[in-house]
Amino acid sequence: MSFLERIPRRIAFLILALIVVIPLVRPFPVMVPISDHTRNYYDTIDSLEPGSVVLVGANVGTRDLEMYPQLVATFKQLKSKDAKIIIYNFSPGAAMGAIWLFEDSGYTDLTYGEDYVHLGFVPGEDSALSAFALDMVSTKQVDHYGNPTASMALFEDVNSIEDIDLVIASGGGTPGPDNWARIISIPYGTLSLVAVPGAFAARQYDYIALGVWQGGLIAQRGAVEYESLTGFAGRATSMYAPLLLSSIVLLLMMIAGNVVFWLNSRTREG
Amino acid sequence: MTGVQKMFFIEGRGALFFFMIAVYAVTYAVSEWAKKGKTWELRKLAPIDAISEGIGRAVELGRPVHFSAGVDRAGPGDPDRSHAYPMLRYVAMNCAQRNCRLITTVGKADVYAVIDQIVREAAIDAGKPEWYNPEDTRFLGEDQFVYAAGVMGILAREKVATNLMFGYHRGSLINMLEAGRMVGALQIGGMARMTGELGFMALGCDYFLVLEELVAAAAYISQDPGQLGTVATQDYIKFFLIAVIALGALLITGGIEVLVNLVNW
Amino acid sequence: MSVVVRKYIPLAIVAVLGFFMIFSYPLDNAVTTAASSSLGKWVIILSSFALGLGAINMFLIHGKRVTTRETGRWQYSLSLLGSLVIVALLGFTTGVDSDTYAFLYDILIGAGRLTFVSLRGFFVFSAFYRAYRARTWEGGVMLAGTILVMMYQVPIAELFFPQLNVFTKWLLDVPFVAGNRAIAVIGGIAMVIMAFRIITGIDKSWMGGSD
Repeated sequence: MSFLERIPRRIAFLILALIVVIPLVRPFPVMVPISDHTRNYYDTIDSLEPGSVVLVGANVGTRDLEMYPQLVATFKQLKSKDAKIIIYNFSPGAAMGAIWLFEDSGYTDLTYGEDYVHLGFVPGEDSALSAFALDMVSTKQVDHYGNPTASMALFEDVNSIEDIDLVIASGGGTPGPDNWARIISIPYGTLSLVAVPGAFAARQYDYIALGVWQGGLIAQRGAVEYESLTGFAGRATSMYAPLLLSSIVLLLMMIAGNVVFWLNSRTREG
Repeated sequence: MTGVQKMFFIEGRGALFFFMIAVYAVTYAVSEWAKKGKTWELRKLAPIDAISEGIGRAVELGRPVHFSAGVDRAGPGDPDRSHAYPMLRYVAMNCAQRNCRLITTVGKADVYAVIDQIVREAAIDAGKPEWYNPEDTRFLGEDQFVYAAGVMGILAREKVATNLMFGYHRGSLINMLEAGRMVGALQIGGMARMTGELGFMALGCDYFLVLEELVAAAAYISQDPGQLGTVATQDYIKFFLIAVIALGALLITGGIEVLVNLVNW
Repeated sequence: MSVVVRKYIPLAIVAVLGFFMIFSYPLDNAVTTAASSSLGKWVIILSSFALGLGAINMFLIHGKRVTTRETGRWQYSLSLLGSLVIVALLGFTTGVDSDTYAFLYDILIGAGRLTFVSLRGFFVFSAFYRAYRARTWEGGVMLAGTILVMMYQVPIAELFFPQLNVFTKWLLDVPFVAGNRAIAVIGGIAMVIMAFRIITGIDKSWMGGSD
């Protein structure tokens, strides 16, 4: 078993590469039990009335396998509930990602300015978000495309966070969901959901337990669960098998590495 | 809500107002106490000794030390940056005194001048102004991946002996730490906020400072009464909050909601 | 520049606006609400200028490398500045929503970023295998917790070891949340104290000196 300790890095990387590539070439379905926070996320959106206004803090700048499929499926479910969407971005890259979200979810079939608005990148993080919550139109006077927000049908009855029915905070790191929780969800008590990649999930479990987020999608698994619940199967589901297999292999190698380490240390003591 | 409360406070935020006033009062009082000569003894942290050993190792091997202060913005309230700067000054002075090359990488354009000034002033204060080399303070790029690619290149090309990473490094931290591992560098890190990267730092670093340890290390190194006072203030407030939480848990278990109502006033 | 302009005026601005913004949160007052909203908009404008400042800094630093033909680096700096100019010009002329701009963004930023992120997978693999050793009992506890949480995330384990997952869920919902909350409270206190020190001028490190 001591050979496990001497495995060259390249061999370990090759094993990992094979583990990832093989299920891409020969895909197989993976059954994923639905966790409580994903179900609550789904149920919260399902309970929206037609015409509800949803403010989405979308912070995804690439078509990744965690946040992007989470938000695409979210937008599809929102569209099925005739919900209106306002997108607010913390970064210029996320503003690009928002355009793809509208395209891939079918919102571009609806009327811009009335059913969905892309506000784009708003610099200033917490301060800007705080001002936006109080007075949306005067804080962000033009949208991502340069159109005046004051003349948009969606903003006729919506001008502050009090007029928003649901907030969805998405993103990783800073600025991200923590900013939304601190500036919007906790002070105003707005109905809120979160969608985050796995690396930034730690804090969100706490917010979910506190009731700041009524539900949450965590990492690619959350995206897979949600796609399964909504029936909108996407890239997260089709790409889940490599993640699953690589996690299992990593787990086994960690355990094996420690077993070898313990055996060797006992041999040395003996 | 009572009349007074309605007149001045938003519902549920009154207690917060008074708590903040109390925190400010304690902070000011401790700050004044520190100015009058009061000092607090901080427990020495192993990574602080390790920094010195790491620099010694670099001198023996004839290889440089690398320092990164993170890739976050330079906002005045940024906790990681504020505590990475005293660490940088300490490392720069140590390196200048021992004539060890220090490469400092910068991930945000707006802090380049500040970091460059810290390194230059450290050289002057160490009595070795000629040690300072402006070419060794390098701005690599604004994007975290661009920055990480640059750092990985520096670690590999320069065969860095000691890699010091204090501050918020975002998702590409593990890449940089593994690159350091590949060249056999001693790696010491620290982060003052709780993110997923803290786990990577624990995995990849030989020594690391977690959250408040970075704050305390910066205070320990500088021995600045103000910073020591800040650490002491945090401890006093923490003790108070622990007492409140324990009392509140006991009271609410017994069905008494006085403390909960007070906090939500 | 006199000390008043260099030191006292910035301190006064930070003090007045800092306390104003802080106390506008708990206090219910039309003046503070309106003013904090306005201040938030000023931050948007200032942040926009900061972005432009970042671009100017890039030109200064990389431009110097190109003009001095710094050995081994000037070519990369030239390609960086060239990319910056081309993408910016394209954005101004065709718009940021054009197909060409989106294509350039994808190949320059998107592909590079995803490549780098995929490297992370290999490095995490290597780090976990090499570094996760239970050398002490505390390390053993941490390793056990890691294995439990990883098994929780892997749905096959949930199908074969449901009892283990009940325990892991409890682990995530109770001790993990408790620890996170404690860290969040501590971090919050630290930020409040730091904010006070900066606003009142006790800590002047943000001004670039301690005088």
